[in-house]
Amino acid sequence: MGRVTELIRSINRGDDTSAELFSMVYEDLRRIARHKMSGESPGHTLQPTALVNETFLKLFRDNCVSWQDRLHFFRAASEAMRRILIDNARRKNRLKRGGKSRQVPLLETVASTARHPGDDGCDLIDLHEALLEFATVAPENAELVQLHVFSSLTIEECAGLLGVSKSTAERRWRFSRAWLKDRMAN
Amino acid sequence: MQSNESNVKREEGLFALACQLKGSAQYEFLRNSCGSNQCLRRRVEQLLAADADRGKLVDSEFPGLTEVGFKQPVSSGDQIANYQLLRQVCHQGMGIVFLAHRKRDRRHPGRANAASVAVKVPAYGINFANCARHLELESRIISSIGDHPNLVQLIEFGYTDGGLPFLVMEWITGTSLLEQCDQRGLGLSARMAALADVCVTVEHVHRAGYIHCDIKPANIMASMCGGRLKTTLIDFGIAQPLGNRGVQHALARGCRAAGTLTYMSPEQAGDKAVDLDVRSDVYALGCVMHELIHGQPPGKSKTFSISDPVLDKILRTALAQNRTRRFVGVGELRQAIEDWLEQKE
Repeated sequence: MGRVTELIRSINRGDDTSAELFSMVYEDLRRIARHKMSGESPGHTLQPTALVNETFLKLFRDNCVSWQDRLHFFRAASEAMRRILIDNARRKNRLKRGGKSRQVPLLETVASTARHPGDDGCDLIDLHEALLEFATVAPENAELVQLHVFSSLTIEECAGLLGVSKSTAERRWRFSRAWLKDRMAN
Repeated sequence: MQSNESNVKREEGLFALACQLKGSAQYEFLRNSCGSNQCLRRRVEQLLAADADRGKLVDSEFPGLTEVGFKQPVSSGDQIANYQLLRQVCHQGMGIVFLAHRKRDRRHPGRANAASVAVKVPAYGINFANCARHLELESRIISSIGDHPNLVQLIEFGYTDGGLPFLVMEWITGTSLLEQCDQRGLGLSARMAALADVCVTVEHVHRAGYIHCDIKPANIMASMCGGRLKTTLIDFGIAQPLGNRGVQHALARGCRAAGTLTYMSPEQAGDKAVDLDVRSDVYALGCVMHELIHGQPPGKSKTFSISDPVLDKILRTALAQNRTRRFVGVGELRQAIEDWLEQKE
């Protein structure tokens, strides 16, 4: 049994090892992203979906994974993906403001994949902040948004993971989307 | 208006209902349900306005950070190992199948270069890891069943540099058995003869120690070959070793949604973990037989409007809900069909 499976089992037993699970998934995501980018030409696009899925495949190759396990994984992965993207957008902003360029371990490359060179990733940071606020007033909906947006799971897949019907998930997504848009606009 | 959990819940409820209404009906609804609470009403109206904006949540074009959902790992035009993917053909079980051409092999320039093959890769999705594992299992199953003229042939199984498993199989020309029968206007006898052929193939699979578990018209390809209808059984994506109660079965259950419930035996589609046996395939063949005769798979009504009492009896036996009342094996089903064919002659 792999370390990840062990961690998930212990979460299921009620132990709080989610932080360790997160850091493992985070590290793996970064490693895989770097590996993928190393052989690619500049401007090559990296897809969070592909990254998350490959990480999943790598970590669970030899294990039978239950739905409960998957939820834990995708929670950690979407959180990791969010952090990677946000750190990156912030770094870009810093650079733009004339900050000193420092060695950035990962996804430098993700930044360079934005198709508009002038794009500073602000709306991503806006979304991140709106989502943090949303999580305090509608935690279940915020989790759905996080899974959908940062792991690129379809609404139907999120529904399956969260154990709600597809129509419930769709209804929640529609509301969440409106809520976040409204918050980001103001 | 203060944002707290119960307020947001209330907004959510009203929003969901108001979304289904338009214009004055929506206005009336909000006026009635919000009463004197103007703040609440304004808030829901604000959300409805935000909802009307169909733009993306995030504008920056972070690839994948869209509201589209999954992108597939590979697409037409990509190259996998020595194969150039030409077009996506179908979703098959847990994978996606592409028509591909083998690239010219420099070491063997004499070899036919543009040979068509079918390349299957796991479909991205939440089940990705399972899909990938299944692809491996599928390759092992096909190769251990061994060559048979009516079984799809395995060419290669491997991993790309990025770790994506892929399965290369011979490219089967033709269409499904059903389409072939309809296109050529084949009569009942010719259809039953073709089905008997399929039975022979399935018997071979069973003798090798596997159950196919996904027999359906789309997985039986047919083409005319030397004036005779040749059938080929494809897609071993959820095939299982016989007499296997454990992991494999659990795996297949995990991806059951990928299969087709219409052609699934009650014990395979059910929730109870039973060990499947050859009678599950007997049931599926019964469904195919029904469709060959009636043009559609058996419905829930279980009423066969059949003119031939012998075929009627065969169908009923193959499609018995309780497997102990079915043919004990595909050989018995085939024998019954062949007896009927003999009688007709």
